[in-house]
Amino acid sequence: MSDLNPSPDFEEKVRKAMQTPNANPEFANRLRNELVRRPVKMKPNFVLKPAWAIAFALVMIALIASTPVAVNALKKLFGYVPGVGLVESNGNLRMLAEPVSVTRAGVTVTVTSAFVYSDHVEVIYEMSGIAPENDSTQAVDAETSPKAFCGGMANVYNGHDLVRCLKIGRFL
Amino acid sequence: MIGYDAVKTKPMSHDELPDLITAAKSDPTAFGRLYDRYLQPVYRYLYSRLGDAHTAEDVTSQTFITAYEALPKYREQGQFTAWLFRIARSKMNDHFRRNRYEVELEAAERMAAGEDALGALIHDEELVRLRSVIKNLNPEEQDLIRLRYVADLSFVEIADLLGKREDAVKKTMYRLLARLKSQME
Repeated sequence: MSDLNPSPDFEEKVRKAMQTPNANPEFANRLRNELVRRPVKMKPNFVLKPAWAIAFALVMIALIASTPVAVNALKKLFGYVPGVGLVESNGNLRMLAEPVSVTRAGVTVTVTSAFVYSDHVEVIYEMSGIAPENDSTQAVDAETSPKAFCGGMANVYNGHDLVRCLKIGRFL
Repeated sequence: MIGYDAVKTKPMSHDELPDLITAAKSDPTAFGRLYDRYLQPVYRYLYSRLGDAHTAEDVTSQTFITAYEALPKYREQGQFTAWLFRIARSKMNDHFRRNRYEVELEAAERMAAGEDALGALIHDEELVRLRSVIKNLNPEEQDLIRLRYVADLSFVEIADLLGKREDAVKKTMYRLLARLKSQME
Protein backbone atom coordinates (compact mmCIF):
# COMPACT_ATOMS: atom_id res chain seq x y z
CA MET A 1 0.00 0.00 0.00
CA SER A 2 3.05 2.24 0.43
CA ASP A 3 3.08 3.16 -3.27
CA LEU A 4 -0.45 4.48 -2.84
CA ASN A 5 0.31 6.59 0.23
CA PRO A 6 -0.78 10.13 -0.54
CA SER A 7 1.56 12.99 0.13
CA PRO A 8 0.65 15.14 3.17
CA ASP A 9 0.61 18.12 0.80
CA PHE A 10 -2.06 16.62 -1.39
CA GLU A 11 -4.12 15.59 1.65
CA GLU A 12 -3.92 19.17 2.87
CA LYS A 13 -5.15 20.38 -0.51
CA VAL A 14 -8.12 18.03 -0.31
CA ARG A 15 -8.83 19.29 3.20
CA LYS A 16 -8.74 22.89 1.98
CA ALA A 17 -10.84 22.12 -1.09
CA MET A 18 -13.49 20.61 1.16
CA GLN A 19 -13.26 23.31 3.82
CA THR A 20 -16.48 23.87 5.69
CA PRO A 21 -17.23 26.48 8.36
CA ASN A 22 -17.66 25.53 11.98
CA ALA A 23 -20.99 26.00 13.71
CA ASN A 24 -22.04 29.49 14.71
CA PRO A 25 -21.04 30.01 18.40
CA GLU A 26 -24.50 31.36 19.19
CA PHE A 27 -26.14 28.19 17.84
CA ALA A 28 -23.54 26.00 19.53
CA ASN A 29 -24.11 27.59 22.94
CA ARG A 30 -27.89 27.57 22.59
CA LEU A 31 -27.95 23.85 21.76
CA ARG A 32 -25.48 23.08 24.53
CA ASN A 33 -27.60 24.88 27.11
CA GLU A 34 -30.70 23.09 25.89
CA LEU A 35 -29.01 19.72 26.17
CA VAL A 36 -27.49 20.13 29.62
CA ARG A 37 -30.80 21.42 30.98
CA ARG A 38 -32.84 18.51 29.67
CA PRO A 39 -34.06 16.15 32.38
CA VAL A 40 -31.89 13.09 32.66
CA LYS A 41 -33.54 9.83 31.68
CA MET A 42 -31.95 7.42 34.09
CA LYS A 43 -31.27 3.98 32.74
CA PRO A 44 -32.99 1.35 34.83
CA ASN A 45 -30.55 -1.08 36.44
CA PHE A 46 -32.46 -4.06 35.16
CA VAL A 47 -33.95 -3.93 31.71
CA LEU A 48 -36.21 -6.86 30.92
CA LYS A 49 -36.01 -7.59 27.19
CA PRO A 50 -39.10 -9.11 25.51
CA ALA A 51 -37.58 -12.58 25.10
CA TRP A 52 -36.56 -12.68 28.75
CA ALA A 53 -39.94 -11.31 29.81
CA ILE A 54 -41.71 -14.13 27.94
CA ALA A 55 -39.38 -16.77 29.40
CA PHE A 56 -39.87 -15.31 32.88
CA ALA A 57 -43.66 -15.32 32.47
CA LEU A 58 -43.62 -18.97 31.29
CA VAL A 59 -41.51 -20.05 34.26
CA MET A 60 -43.82 -18.21 36.65
CA ILE A 61 -46.91 -19.80 35.06
CA ALA A 62 -45.32 -23.26 35.34
CA LEU A 63 -44.45 -22.65 38.99
CA ILE A 64 -47.89 -21.34 39.83
CA ALA A 65 -49.65 -24.13 37.91
CA SER A 66 -47.77 -26.72 39.93
CA THR A 67 -49.02 -25.35 43.25
CA PRO A 68 -52.65 -26.40 44.00
CA VAL A 69 -53.22 -23.59 46.49
CA ALA A 70 -52.09 -21.03 43.91
CA VAL A 71 -54.20 -22.66 41.21
CA ASN A 72 -57.34 -22.50 43.35
CA ALA A 73 -56.61 -18.92 44.31
CA LEU A 74 -56.20 -18.00 40.64
CA LYS A 75 -59.35 -19.88 39.70
CA LYS A 76 -61.25 -17.80 42.20
CA LEU A 77 -59.48 -14.62 41.19
CA PHE A 78 -60.01 -14.89 37.44
CA GLY A 79 -63.21 -16.95 37.45
CA TYR A 80 -61.78 -19.41 34.91
CA VAL A 81 -61.68 -23.14 35.54
CA PRO A 82 -59.87 -25.39 33.05
CA GLY A 83 -62.31 -27.78 31.40
CA VAL A 84 -65.26 -25.72 32.63
CA GLY A 85 -64.67 -22.20 31.44
CA LEU A 86 -65.70 -18.98 33.09
CA VAL A 87 -67.55 -19.21 36.40
CA GLU A 88 -69.05 -16.39 38.39
CA SER A 89 -66.24 -15.24 40.62
CA ASN A 90 -68.03 -12.36 42.28
CA GLY A 91 -69.52 -12.84 45.73
CA ASN A 92 -68.68 -15.76 47.94
CA LEU A 93 -67.75 -18.46 45.46
CA ARG A 94 -66.76 -21.77 47.05
CA MET A 95 -65.45 -24.63 45.00
CA LEU A 96 -64.32 -28.19 45.32
CA ALA A 97 -60.59 -28.43 45.89
CA GLU A 98 -60.26 -31.81 44.17
CA PRO A 99 -62.50 -34.48 42.54
CA VAL A 100 -64.50 -36.68 44.91
CA SER A 101 -65.53 -40.22 44.04
CA VAL A 102 -67.95 -42.66 45.66
CA THR A 103 -69.11 -46.17 44.57
CA ARG A 104 -72.38 -47.75 45.64
CA ALA A 105 -74.11 -50.80 44.17
CA GLY A 106 -71.55 -50.89 41.39
CA VAL A 107 -72.21 -47.30 40.28
CA THR A 108 -69.32 -44.92 40.69
CA VAL A 109 -70.07 -41.20 40.86
CA THR A 110 -67.14 -38.84 40.57
CA VAL A 111 -67.78 -35.18 41.26
CA THR A 112 -65.05 -33.40 39.34
CA SER A 113 -66.08 -29.84 40.17
CA ALA A 114 -68.61 -28.21 42.41
CA PHE A 115 -69.26 -24.50 42.74
CA VAL A 116 -71.31 -23.10 45.60
CA TYR A 117 -72.60 -19.62 44.80
CA SER A 118 -74.65 -17.48 47.13
CA ASP A 119 -77.89 -18.49 45.35
CA HIS A 120 -77.22 -21.88 43.74
CA VAL A 121 -74.87 -24.81 43.41
CA GLU A 122 -73.33 -26.19 40.22
CA VAL A 123 -71.93 -29.73 40.09
CA ILE A 124 -69.97 -31.42 37.30
CA TYR A 125 -69.79 -35.18 37.65
CA GLU A 126 -69.12 -38.43 35.81
CA MET A 127 -70.72 -41.84 36.30
CA SER A 128 -69.74 -45.37 35.43
CA GLY A 129 -71.02 -48.87 36.10
CA ILE A 130 -74.71 -48.12 35.33
CA ALA A 131 -76.76 -51.19 34.47
CA PRO A 132 -78.59 -50.88 31.10
CA GLU A 133 -82.03 -51.30 32.75
CA ASN A 134 -81.36 -48.22 34.87
CA ASP A 135 -80.20 -46.09 31.94
CA SER A 136 -82.85 -44.00 30.17
CA THR A 137 -80.98 -44.14 26.90
CA GLN A 138 -81.03 -47.94 26.93
CA ALA A 139 -84.21 -48.89 28.82
CA VAL A 140 -87.23 -49.87 26.70
CA ASP A 141 -89.72 -47.95 28.91
CA ALA A 142 -87.47 -44.89 29.26
CA GLU A 143 -90.13 -42.50 27.90
CA THR A 144 -92.93 -43.58 30.25
CA SER A 145 -90.73 -44.33 33.21
CA PRO A 146 -87.72 -42.01 33.50
CA LYS A 147 -84.73 -43.65 35.04
CA ALA A 148 -82.17 -42.26 37.39
CA PHE A 149 -79.45 -42.26 34.75
CA CYS A 150 -79.06 -41.47 31.08
CA GLY A 151 -75.89 -42.31 29.21
CA GLY A 152 -73.65 -41.98 32.21
CA MET A 153 -75.25 -38.78 33.44
CA ALA A 154 -77.72 -38.36 36.25
CA ASN A 155 -81.24 -37.13 35.94
CA VAL A 156 -81.66 -34.49 38.59
CA TYR A 157 -84.68 -33.70 40.66
CA ASN A 158 -84.98 -29.94 40.93
CA GLY A 159 -87.76 -29.89 43.48
CA HIS A 160 -90.62 -30.23 40.97
CA ASP A 161 -89.59 -32.48 38.08
CA LEU A 162 -86.91 -34.92 37.11
CA VAL A 163 -84.66 -32.81 34.90
CA ARG A 164 -83.14 -35.14 32.40
CA CYS A 165 -79.56 -35.79 31.51
CA LEU A 166 -77.77 -32.86 33.03
CA LYS A 167 -74.08 -32.97 32.99
CA ILE A 168 -74.03 -29.78 35.00
CA GLY A 169 -76.62 -30.13 37.72
CA ARG A 170 -77.88 -26.79 38.89
CA PHE A 171 -79.45 -26.95 42.34
CA LEU A 172 -81.53 -24.07 43.56
CA MET B 1 -11.09 25.67 9.49
CA ILE B 2 -12.68 28.79 8.23
CA GLY B 3 -15.60 30.87 9.38
CA TYR B 4 -16.74 30.70 12.94
CA ASP B 5 -14.40 29.96 15.78
CA ALA B 6 -14.59 26.52 17.29
CA VAL B 7 -16.79 26.59 20.33
CA LYS B 8 -15.17 25.19 23.44
CA THR B 9 -13.66 22.37 21.40
CA LYS B 10 -11.38 20.65 23.84
CA PRO B 11 -8.85 18.01 22.94
CA MET B 12 -9.70 14.71 24.55
CA SER B 13 -7.61 11.59 24.77
CA HIS B 14 -9.15 8.26 23.79
CA ASP B 15 -8.45 7.04 27.34
CA GLU B 16 -10.81 9.48 28.98
CA LEU B 17 -13.62 9.03 26.47
CA PRO B 18 -15.10 5.78 27.93
CA ASP B 19 -15.32 7.31 31.42
CA LEU B 20 -16.90 10.45 30.02
CA ILE B 21 -19.47 8.42 28.09
CA THR B 22 -20.37 6.46 31.23
CA ALA B 23 -20.70 9.69 33.21
CA ALA B 24 -22.77 11.32 30.45
CA LYS B 25 -25.44 8.63 30.79
CA SER B 26 -26.57 10.20 34.05
CA ASP B 27 -24.85 13.56 34.12
CA PRO B 28 -25.87 16.30 31.65
CA THR B 29 -22.67 18.23 32.38
CA ALA B 30 -20.60 15.26 31.22
CA PHE B 31 -22.76 15.07 28.11
CA GLY B 32 -21.93 18.74 27.60
CA ARG B 33 -18.25 17.80 27.39
CA LEU B 34 -19.01 15.10 24.83
CA TYR B 35 -20.97 17.71 22.88
CA ASP B 36 -17.99 20.09 23.01
CA ARG B 37 -15.79 17.35 21.61
CA TYR B 38 -18.09 16.32 18.76
CA LEU B 39 -20.20 19.33 17.80
CA GLN B 40 -17.92 20.79 15.14
CA PRO B 41 -17.03 17.53 13.33
CA VAL B 42 -20.71 16.56 13.21
CA TYR B 43 -21.81 20.03 12.13
CA ARG B 44 -19.16 20.35 9.42
CA TYR B 45 -19.97 16.90 8.06
CA LEU B 46 -23.68 17.74 7.89
CA TYR B 47 -23.08 21.20 6.47
CA SER B 48 -20.82 19.86 3.69
CA ARG B 49 -23.54 17.38 2.74
CA LEU B 50 -26.62 19.57 3.23
CA GLY B 51 -25.14 22.76 1.81
CA ASP B 52 -26.66 25.40 4.08
CA ALA B 53 -26.09 26.48 7.64
CA HIS B 54 -29.70 26.64 8.76
CA THR B 55 -30.49 23.05 7.72
CA ALA B 56 -27.17 21.87 9.12
CA GLU B 57 -28.08 23.45 12.46
CA ASP B 58 -31.48 21.74 12.46
CA VAL B 59 -30.06 18.31 11.70
CA THR B 60 -27.19 18.81 14.15
CA SER B 61 -29.72 19.64 16.89
CA GLN B 62 -31.73 16.52 16.08
CA THR B 63 -28.55 14.44 16.12
CA PHE B 64 -27.42 15.54 19.57
CA ILE B 65 -30.90 15.41 21.10
CA THR B 66 -31.33 11.85 19.84
CA ALA B 67 -27.84 10.93 21.04
CA TYR B 68 -28.62 12.41 24.46
CA GLU B 69 -31.82 10.41 24.76
CA ALA B 70 -30.33 7.19 23.39
CA LEU B 71 -27.06 7.35 25.31
CA PRO B 72 -28.29 5.27 28.29
CA LYS B 73 -28.82 2.40 25.84
CA TYR B 74 -25.39 2.81 24.23
CA ARG B 75 -22.97 0.05 25.21
CA GLU B 76 -19.41 1.31 25.20
CA GLN B 77 -17.25 -0.75 22.86
CA GLY B 78 -14.95 2.00 21.68
CA GLN B 79 -17.21 2.99 18.80
CA PHE B 80 -18.87 6.13 20.14
CA THR B 81 -17.82 8.28 17.16
CA ALA B 82 -19.29 5.76 14.72
CA TRP B 83 -22.47 5.56 16.82
CA LEU B 84 -22.87 9.35 16.85
CA PHE B 85 -22.19 9.73 13.13
CA ARG B 86 -24.64 6.91 12.42
CA ILE B 87 -27.30 9.01 14.16
CA ALA B 88 -26.21 12.08 12.17
CA ARG B 89 -26.44 10.20 8.86
CA SER B 90 -29.81 8.79 9.82
CA LYS B 91 -31.15 12.27 10.64
CA MET B 92 -29.72 13.61 7.40
CA ASN B 93 -31.42 10.84 5.40
CA ASP B 94 -34.68 11.61 7.22
CA HIS B 95 -34.28 15.23 6.15
CA PHE B 96 -33.71 14.23 2.52
CA ARG B 97 -36.75 11.95 2.58
CA ARG B 98 -39.00 14.62 4.10
CA ASN B 99 -37.82 17.41 1.82
CA ARG B 100 -36.99 15.52 -1.35
CA TYR B 101 -38.74 17.95 -3.67
CA GLU B 102 -37.39 21.01 -1.88
CA VAL B 103 -33.83 19.69 -1.83
CA GLU B 104 -33.92 18.80 -5.53
CA LEU B 105 -35.29 22.21 -6.39
CA GLU B 106 -32.64 24.02 -4.37
CA ALA B 107 -29.88 21.93 -5.91
CA ALA B 108 -31.21 22.65 -9.39
CA GLU B 109 -31.36 26.36 -8.63
CA ARG B 110 -27.81 26.34 -7.34
CA MET B 111 -26.59 24.48 -10.41
CA ALA B 112 -28.44 26.90 -12.70
CA ALA B 113 -26.78 29.82 -10.99
CA GLY B 114 -23.40 28.07 -11.19
CA GLU B 115 -23.22 28.55 -7.48
CA ASP B 116 -21.57 26.46 -4.80
CA ALA B 117 -22.02 28.12 -1.41
CA LEU B 118 -19.00 26.45 0.13
CA GLY B 119 -16.95 26.57 -3.04
CA ALA B 120 -17.43 30.34 -3.12
CA LEU B 121 -15.21 30.53 -0.04
CA ILE B 122 -12.27 29.12 -1.99
CA HIS B 123 -10.26 31.50 -4.10
CA ASP B 124 -7.31 29.33 -5.06
CA GLU B 125 -7.87 28.16 -8.62
CA GLU B 126 -6.27 24.76 -8.04
CA LEU B 127 -8.48 24.14 -5.01
CA VAL B 128 -11.57 25.18 -6.94
CA ARG B 129 -10.67 22.63 -9.58
CA LEU B 130 -9.96 19.95 -6.99
CA ARG B 131 -13.31 20.66 -5.36
CA SER B 132 -15.00 20.30 -8.71
CA VAL B 133 -13.27 16.93 -9.32
CA ILE B 134 -14.37 15.72 -5.87
CA LYS B 135 -17.94 16.78 -6.58
CA ASN B 136 -17.89 14.52 -9.61
CA LEU B 137 -17.03 11.44 -7.54
CA ASN B 138 -19.82 9.00 -6.76
CA PRO B 139 -21.77 9.62 -3.51
CA GLU B 140 -19.93 6.90 -1.53
CA GLU B 141 -16.54 8.29 -2.53
CA GLN B 142 -17.60 11.83 -1.68
CA ASP B 143 -18.85 10.60 1.68
CA LEU B 144 -15.51 8.96 2.39
CA ILE B 145 -13.72 12.24 1.61
CA ARG B 146 -16.11 14.15 3.88
CA LEU B 147 -15.70 11.75 6.80
CA ARG B 148 -11.93 11.90 6.55
CA TYR B 149 -11.21 15.51 5.59
CA VAL B 150 -14.26 17.44 6.79
CA ALA B 151 -15.23 15.57 9.94
CA ASP B 152 -11.61 14.57 10.62
CA LEU B 153 -12.48 11.01 11.52
CA SER B 154 -9.71 8.45 11.87
CA PHE B 155 -9.61 5.40 9.60
CA VAL B 156 -10.70 3.24 12.53
CA GLU B 157 -13.72 5.47 13.18
CA ILE B 158 -14.68 5.47 9.47
CA ALA B 159 -14.31 1.69 9.35
CA ASP B 160 -16.57 1.32 12.43
CA LEU B 161 -19.14 3.62 10.89
CA LEU B 162 -19.19 1.90 7.50
CA GLY B 163 -18.91 -1.61 8.93
CA LYS B 164 -15.68 -2.27 7.06
CA ARG B 165 -12.14 -3.22 8.01
CA GLU B 166 -9.70 -0.41 8.69
CA ASP B 167 -7.27 -1.72 6.07
CA ALA B 168 -10.01 -1.81 3.44
CA VAL B 169 -11.06 1.77 4.18
CA LYS B 170 -7.46 2.96 4.10
CA LYS B 171 -6.81 1.23 0.78
CA THR B 172 -9.99 2.65 -0.77
CA MET B 173 -9.11 6.13 0.45
CA TYR B 174 -5.54 6.02 -0.83
CA ARG B 175 -6.65 4.76 -4.23
CA LEU B 176 -9.25 7.50 -4.35
CA LEU B 177 -6.65 10.16 -3.54
CA ALA B 178 -4.29 8.73 -6.16
CA ARG B 179 -7.07 8.98 -8.71
CA LEU B 180 -7.87 12.55 -7.69
CA LYS B 181 -4.21 13.46 -7.94
CA SER B 182 -3.88 11.98 -11.41
CA GLN B 183 -6.99 13.86 -12.54
CA MET B 184 -5.44 17.07 -11.27
CA GLU B 185 -2.20 16.58 -13.24
